[in-house]
Parts: sequence; C-alpha cells; structure tokens
Amino acid sequence: MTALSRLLVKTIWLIAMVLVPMSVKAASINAADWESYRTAFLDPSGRIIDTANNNISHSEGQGYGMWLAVLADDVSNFELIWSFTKTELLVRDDGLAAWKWDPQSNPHVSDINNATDGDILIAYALALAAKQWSRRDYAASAQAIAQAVLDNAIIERGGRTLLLPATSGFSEADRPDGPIVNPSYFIFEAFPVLDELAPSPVWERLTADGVAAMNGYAFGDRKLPADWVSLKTRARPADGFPQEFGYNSLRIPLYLARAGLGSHDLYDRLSRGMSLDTGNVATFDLRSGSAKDVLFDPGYRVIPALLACVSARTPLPHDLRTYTSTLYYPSTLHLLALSFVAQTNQECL
Amino acid sequence: MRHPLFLAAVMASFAATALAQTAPFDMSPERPSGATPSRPQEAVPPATPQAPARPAVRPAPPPVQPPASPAPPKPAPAAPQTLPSPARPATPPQQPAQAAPATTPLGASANAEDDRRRYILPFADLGLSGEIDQRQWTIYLTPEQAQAATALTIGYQNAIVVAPESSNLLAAINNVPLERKSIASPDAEASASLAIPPGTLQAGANVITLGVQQRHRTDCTIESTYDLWTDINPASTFLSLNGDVANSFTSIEDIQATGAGSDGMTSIDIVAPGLANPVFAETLLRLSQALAIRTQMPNQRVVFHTSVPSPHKPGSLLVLAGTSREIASLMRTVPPEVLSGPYTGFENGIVSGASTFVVSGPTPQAVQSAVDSLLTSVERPLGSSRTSLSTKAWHTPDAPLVMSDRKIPLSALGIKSTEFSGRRFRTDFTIGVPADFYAAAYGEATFLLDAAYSGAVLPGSHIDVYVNGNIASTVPISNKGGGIFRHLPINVTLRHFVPGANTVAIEAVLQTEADVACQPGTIADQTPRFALFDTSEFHMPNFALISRAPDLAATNGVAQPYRAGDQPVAVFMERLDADILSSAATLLGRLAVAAGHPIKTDLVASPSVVGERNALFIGTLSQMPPALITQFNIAPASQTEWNDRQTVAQSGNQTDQLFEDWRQRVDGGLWQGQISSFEEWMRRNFDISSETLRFLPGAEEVYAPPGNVNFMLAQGLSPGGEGVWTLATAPTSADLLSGTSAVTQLKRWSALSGRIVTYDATADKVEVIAAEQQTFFITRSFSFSNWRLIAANWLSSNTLSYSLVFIGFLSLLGMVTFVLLRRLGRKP
Repeated sequence: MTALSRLLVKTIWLIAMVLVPMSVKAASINAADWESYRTAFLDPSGRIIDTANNNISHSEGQGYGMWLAVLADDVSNFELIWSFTKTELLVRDDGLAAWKWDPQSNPHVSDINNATDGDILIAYALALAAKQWSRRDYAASAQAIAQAVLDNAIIERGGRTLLLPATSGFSEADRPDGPIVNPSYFIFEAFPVLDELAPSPVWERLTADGVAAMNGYAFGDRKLPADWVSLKTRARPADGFPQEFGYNSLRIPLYLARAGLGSHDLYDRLSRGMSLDTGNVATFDLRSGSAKDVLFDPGYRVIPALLACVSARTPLPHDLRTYTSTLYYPSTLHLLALSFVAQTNQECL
Repeated sequence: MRHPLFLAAVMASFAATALAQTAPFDMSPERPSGATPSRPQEAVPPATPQAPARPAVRPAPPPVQPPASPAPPKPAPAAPQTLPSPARPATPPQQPAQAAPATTPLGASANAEDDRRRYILPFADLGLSGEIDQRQWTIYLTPEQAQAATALTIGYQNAIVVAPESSNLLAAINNVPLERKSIASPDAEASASLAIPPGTLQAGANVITLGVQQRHRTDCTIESTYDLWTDINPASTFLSLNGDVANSFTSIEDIQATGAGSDGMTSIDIVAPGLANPVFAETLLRLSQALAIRTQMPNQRVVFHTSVPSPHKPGSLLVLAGTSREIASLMRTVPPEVLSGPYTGFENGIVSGASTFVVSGPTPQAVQSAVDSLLTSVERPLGSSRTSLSTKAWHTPDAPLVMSDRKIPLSALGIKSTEFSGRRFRTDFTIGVPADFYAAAYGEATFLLDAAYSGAVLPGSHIDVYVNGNIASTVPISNKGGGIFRHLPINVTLRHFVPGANTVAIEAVLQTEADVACQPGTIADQTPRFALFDTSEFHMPNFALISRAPDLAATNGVAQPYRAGDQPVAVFMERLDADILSSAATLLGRLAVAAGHPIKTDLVASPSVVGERNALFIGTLSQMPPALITQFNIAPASQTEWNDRQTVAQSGNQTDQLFEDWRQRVDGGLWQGQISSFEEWMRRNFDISSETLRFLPGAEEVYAPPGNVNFMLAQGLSPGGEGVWTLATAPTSADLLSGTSAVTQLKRWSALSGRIVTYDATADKVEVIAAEQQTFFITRSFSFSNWRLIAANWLSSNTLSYSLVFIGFLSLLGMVTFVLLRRLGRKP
C-alpha cells in the first residue's frame, strides 16, 4: 500500500472518529466484576498475571486485559496495561510483541518470538479504545500492529489465506508438516476492525477462509478442532503436538459466537463435542476421544451455555451469570462471555 | 631424496584409493524447497518453553474444583524437535475421564454396510502430491469377492489450487485402467465411483494402482507444484460388492484376504481361553506368526482375548484357538471335526456376525499339531535365500534383494516408460539390500538414465535422485535444444541405504520459457517435455557384507539377527497375560513378515537362562531385572522413575533446557565463534564435521527415557557379546501393547535404526538413539574383496584412524628407503 493511501485512510479514520458519537461508551462489564478481575490479575506495574503459569505474563494476557478495560470503560487501567505492553513486550523490530514475559528470568523476555493472537488482541483493544475514548495515538499504534500482522503473520498458501501462530517456527520452511495454524488464534471480530485501520482484502479472505476451515476441523469421534492443525495437505492435527482439543481450543466457540459467524450446526457440534454428560466441559484426546482434564470452572462452562444462548436463546444457568475471579484464563473467558451476553443477548440473563 | 618422496606420493595415492574411497558427494541438507525443514535462523533463540506452556505451579485450587488451568496459547517453537517437551499437565486430571462416546458403536446397519465393502487401502492415510504421483499395491480377494465387486469407490479431497479440468484420478486394476475422474473436491470429501469391467478382478492377488495427474489452477512455477495434493481417505475407499461377502471366508487361503479395515489397520484377534497356561503360550506365539505371515499386511497387530470381542470390524481376522473343550463355550455349535483330531479351517455362523478361523483339536497335542501344520506351509526350506523382499501388500512389485554387483532395469522394478508434460516429474521404486549391508560411508551405486527432454526445456532444469527421502545426486540439464540421455551414469551415494527395502525416487525439475511467461493454457498444455524410459538401469556395485549389532535398522528391514541361526530365539515375557502376550505376538509377527518366514522361538521363564543366545525381552521396565537393564545401557533408575513420569520429564527436560540456555548465553568470544562458524562452513561445503574426524567410535551413553515416552525398543548385546538382545518395554502393560502396535506399523517401523527407538504416543513421535559402538558379526565366508570393502567403509567412518594408518605407512616407507639408501650406493 502506498504512503498516500495510508494517509488517506488515516484521515478518513480521524474524520469518522470525530463524527461518530461515543455510542459504545456504556460499559458491558460491571465495575465490581472488573474490580475483582483487576485485583486478582493486574499487577500495579500494568501486567496481567497468568496465575496458573508461574505468574508469567504474555502478549495474549496483555491484550485481554486491555480489551476488558475497554469493555469496563476504564481508561486509566487501560493506559497502565498498554504502557507495560509497549515498554516491555513491543521490543521486536517488526512491531509485533514478544509473547512471553517471565518475572523470574533475566532478561524477562527470553524468547523474542511473537504470538499472533496476542498481537491481534492488543491491536483490537487499541482500536476499540481509540473509538471509545477518541484517542488518535491508540489508533496509530493499533494501525502499526495490524500492519505488522498483515506483513509478517498472514500468508497465502495453496489458494487459502492463513494466519501463522507466530512469525517463526510454523511455516512450511520451518516444519515438514507446515504450515501449522492454531484455530483459536482467529479472533474473528477483530478482523473487520483492523481492516478499517490497515485496509487490505486479506482480512476479509482470512475471515472467510477461517470460518470455512472451522467447519472442516472435526477430528476424531468427538468431531472437535485440534489446538494445532497442519495444513500441509488436508487439515489434520499437527505432528509433534499433543493431538488434543486443549485449553487453546476452548475459546474457539467464544470467538465464533462473539463475531456471529458460526452456523447453528457448528455451534451444536462444538458444544456437544466439548461437553460431558455431567454438564462439565473438558479437554479431549482426539485420537481416543477420551477426556483429559475435566473442567469445572464457570469460565469454561459458560462457553457451551453461551452457544445455547446464541442458537436457542436458552438463558444462562444462574451460577454462570455471576462472576468470581478464579484463574486468569477461565476468568478472562468468563468476563468476555458475560460482556457479550450483556451487549447482545440480554434475554439470556 | 627426490625419488623416495615421489615414490611415497605414488604409494600414498594408491593407499588412498585402495583403503578409503572418499565419501561421495552428498547433499542431504538440500531438499526441494517447500519440503525443507530448516530452522529459523536468528529470530528465535531456542529459549525456554517453546511449546504450549502448561502450568508448572498451580495456585492451591478450591477443594472440589480442579485446577482448571489455561494453557496460554503459546507459539514459539523455533525447533519443532523441542516442541512436545511439556506435553503433560503437571497434575493429572482429578476426575477419571467420563466421556460419553460421541458416536454409538457400529450398529447392525453399519455392519451390513461393511459386508458390502472391501476396504483396499493398506495405509492409515494416503496423500498423492505433485503433478504426477501413484501408488501400486496388491490385495488378495476370495473368489466370491472377485465375483461380487462392481465398482471401485474412492473418497478423496484435494487442494483448492488443483485445476479440475486438467487433473484426474487415475486408477487401474491388474493394469486395466478404470474410467478417469476429474479431481474436483477442494471443500469437502467427495466420493468417486469407478465401474470395474467384468472379469478384471480375479480370485487371489490383484494389483491396485491409484494415482493422480494434477495441474495448478493459475501458477506455472516449480514451487507451485508442491501445493498440489489429493488425500485419499481409507474409510471411504473400497470395492463395492453386490453381495455380503466382504467378511466371509471359507478356505485357509482366504486368510490372506483379511486385508485392512476402514482405518488401514489389520487386526488378528485370537480368542484363546487357555492363554494364561505357560505350556500353551509358545503354541499361541507360533500360531500368531503363521497367521501374520499369511495376512502380511503393513499395519497389523495381534491381540489375544479370552472371550469373543465384539463387534467384528473389517480388516480383522477372528481366530478361536484351544482344545475343543476350551472353545466350546465360545460358540454356538462345535464343528464335529474338532472333536476327532487336529483341525484348522474357517467356520461360518458359529459366532455371530463373522467368519471364524478355528484352530483346535481334542487335546493340547492336537492343537499343537494343528498349529504346526499351519506353520510348516509357510516355512522356507533351509538354506534357500530370498531373491526379493515381500513388500507387495503396500508396494508392488516386491523389492528385489540385491546381494552384490547387479544391474536391474526399471521395467523389472515396476516402472513403465512415461511421457510427461508438466513441470515436476517424479517416480520411485524399491531396492532391497541384505541385513549385513555395510557400505553407507563410502559406497556409490550408479543409476544409468535413459531419458529425453524436448527443445523447450531450459538450462537450469535438473534431474535428481532421492534415496529414502534424502537427495543423493543431481544432474543439471545444461544445454538448450533438447537431448537424449542414453545410459547417462548418475552416481548415487549409498549413505542413505539401510538394510531392507529402500525407496529410490527419480525427480525431474523442468522449466520452460512458456512457464516463465505463464500464459493462459500453458499449465494444461499436453505437449510432452520429458520422457523416462524403462530401459534405465539401477546398478548396485559389490558392497561390504558384515553384520553389526546393535542396529535396529537391520532388525526392522529383515529381522536380523532373528531370522537366521540354528538356535531358536529365546523369548522372555514378564508374565503371561493378554497385554504382554499380544505385544510379544505383534512384535514377533512383524519380525516374521520382515524375515519372510516364521521365527523359531523358545520361551524362557527367566532372563538368567538365556545365556548367549539371541533373545527378545518383552515387559514393563519396572519388572525387568536391573542386570538386564544395564546390558542395554539404560539407566537403572528409569525402572522406578519412568512410571512417575512427571519427575522424569521435568528434571530431564529442565536440565537439557538449562544446559542449552547456558550454551546460548556463553558465547565464548570471538575465537570460539570463528571456530564454530568454520566448522559449520566445513560441514556445509565438504560434509566434514567433528563427528567425521574421529579415531574410533564414541562411547555409548547411558540412556534414561524421558517422561513423554510411552514405549521403547532397545537393542544390546548379551554379556558375552555373542547374542543380540532386543527389549520391548513401556511403563505399563497397556502402554506396551499400544506402543508395540504403533511402532510395528509400516511408517514408524521403517524409521527404526540405532540402538534405541522411543515412541511418544501423545505427539505420535518416534525418536532414534544412534548406536555409537557396534560389534561386528561375520556373516559370510572369508574373501579378500569383501574384507577390503569392509576396511574401506570402516576407515571412511573413522577418518583419523585412516590418517594414522596412512602416516604409519608413510613413516615405514621412509624408514625402509632410508635404510636402503644407507646400505646401497657409494659411501664417502
């Protein structure tokens, strides 16, 4: 894209920002829930702590934190998380974020590789914040990251547009079964927003190919997607990774539902695949179809409930409507699900 | 002094050629672009948890709720090898898996469907890729099946970039081409049904050929041809039958018709109520070998049961074995023959839903003689040797076994003369070499190429030869205007040959002006630009023949050393239960197929009575005597630690990881950096590394299996060094069974080599621990030429020894010359 057209886009964006009233200002996460989340996972330095993983932080967590701050309409904490992200993680030459920050290691960033979902989450949160609080600097930062994702992590292979999980380690040059994708890195609702900032036909193709691919990821008897999928030929669970519907994949339905892109059949398949008869969800070994970790946390259980809400307007069970902080990952998913229901499916509450 | 020096130089060059023929040029690091597993250069320091990180420490969870732990979706792996390290969660799930199966077991209707389908694919998956690709294998049909087959149904899905108008599925049965179908199903699996002309199939062996011709929709580059693929699904690829005969068998010959199931697997289910009886165990092992050799499928396993398993699945052979009294309770009616004497044969209708092979008799002795009668008919006469390795169930024709200098034309290897109009031509064939093949370090075969290329082909095009997936030679096409090769010699390094069947592929990469311009219509252009003639020959030279151990490559290829020998192989099993016995039978069955005949076994009750015989040990590691474990150079501590996988996984991986981190951190300054970059340069350009420059083979390191490993196959020598021992072991007997059946499957089995092979079931990964110190076993009578070749190969792999011999020789020459000159001539 030429510099001129980028300038043009920026100008349009700024004009639009001035013209659009602050329509999305109302917080969809209530103050108490956000307060609880902040107390549990936000360090005063501005990093979101992954409490189940040695208290490390990662670009994904920072992105989630920023996103939730926007949803809770909390600009000061948004700024806090963003400034940590900017100074500690955005240390790569290409403008993407290093994926992991470990308080116990020195230097804290020991692996400079990125995690593309973290980058997308950060850019998306920045874009939302720019709209919500009319901040040009956020829009500019979001635009830069979105452009870096476009340039470094999105590829065309075999007639399809793919999102690489990181800039190195997953392409066909890196692995015999490459390219590898992680279906849970497709934060579909972010793509159109990023398209406004870094316009490219690639975003639309990524959405279309991504949704088509999700319909095809049905491995094993449980017909579930795998955390890591090889797309060398027909999609299959990647070599060298556990062949599982794991913690990564649990959020696939959440992203699909939030973006409104899944069909009822797809929601139904995912919901049935991930749920046990007991009503709990689990991670599954895809070859044997047996459950690996049975999950009781409301942050995981809310996902099939959310699918039932969007497909059949089934109200959420009462115990899932209230938020309590547990561990970083399920708590994040829980807030994202509740915020979505509050915004679009009030009847389920 | 000039003359002695000159003489020395002449002698030196003679010695150099005689003793160590230089290692042939080898380009193994180079691969076609698109298939290159190269590492990212600098972006990612191979730092820490490169895999989806799992919580190492968890906060104290609420009492009832399990630590529902996120795996933050972690990218990272710079090096795929390190990926699955933290594969297991730090704490096991707190609840047993209560997953309800998503699909109900096969109902009656599904069974009825299966009775009209004869699945034909002997692979769990089959990918056909590039512009031209093909597989050919042999299936065995009963007379009823051959009669009833009406169509060949192929379930497939293809890459979106495959152009349907110029891409076809090409299938043939017994060289009769079936109707062509266009390849046009990029979005979901499609089913192509090809009618089979009457009379095409015959009772007995039938050769199935399945191939593709594919062209790209838009792109004319060589790279784009790597994006072309068609995946064939074994579960929807079958012969459609007009009668329920897919699973009904009548004569003993029909055992071969067992074939593979919808997943490409074959299962021999032996129901033996008396399997716990030690006296009977040996008979059962012999029975399983006799059956495994007859079914002879690439992915087969033997499973023992005490009651009839249900439901019956295609690709499985149900066998009832035991005395008439033992098996009476398992079936509706006892066949009368069983009561009178030794009996083997198929019975229909005695257990529900399937033909059952009955091996029985009124007494244990009668059962034994029934098994013996099955066994003797597959034995090879003593002293006879094979001329080919039986690969036809997955690759037809059989791989010819080359023992010495021999030329084989491509026509005898199953390749026909072919004209080709695309950009990348590829075809392959198999060559078998014996167990005592010893020429990897210096040997060179020659491929005598008969081919032609048209005037359109540009200089820069090339013809490559691959051995077992590694590039072994390349011939550039350097002149314009077309040309014909008549027996053009292409030297092919033997470095990648292993004992057993080897796949040699010929690939021609052809560029034209039209491809550069890539006008519409170019891709689908049918004008041939290359032709390969079946008069091309593969010429294998004389090579050194001496056997080595430990070497699992020889064991997987031809069951060395268990295939031959006067003494039976001692087999020790930890205990006689269904899991252990099934593991032993699966392994022995695989070895018997590799050997081409049943392996004589002698069941021993304790490892101490094995002595110096060749032996197999099967059992969980914790139950093996510690003395035995050390014989395999395995850390004795693994016996207790392997079960407790977390500790082993973490301590082992963390130490390795830490060490690697420190290696990265300690950069060693400029000087060391230059040395390592010089080493890298030497390796890249001359294939010389510090490993090549060695005096003697290195020492064997004690191995401790890491926690992610579920199964291990280890080979070592008996204490006296006379016998070769192989150990199949796992932390639990369930792992042992699943590990054995996974590792004996063709794709993993053919990857075995070294002294230890481990299998990680979670990540489906086989890893090889190379053997540093191998003992030689003389397998042939003395001949000077053989010993010369052996010395050449040994000195080529131990280059510094060669240099020492060379220097010693020169010194000796110098001294002799000196002494001679002192004595002769005028003295002052």
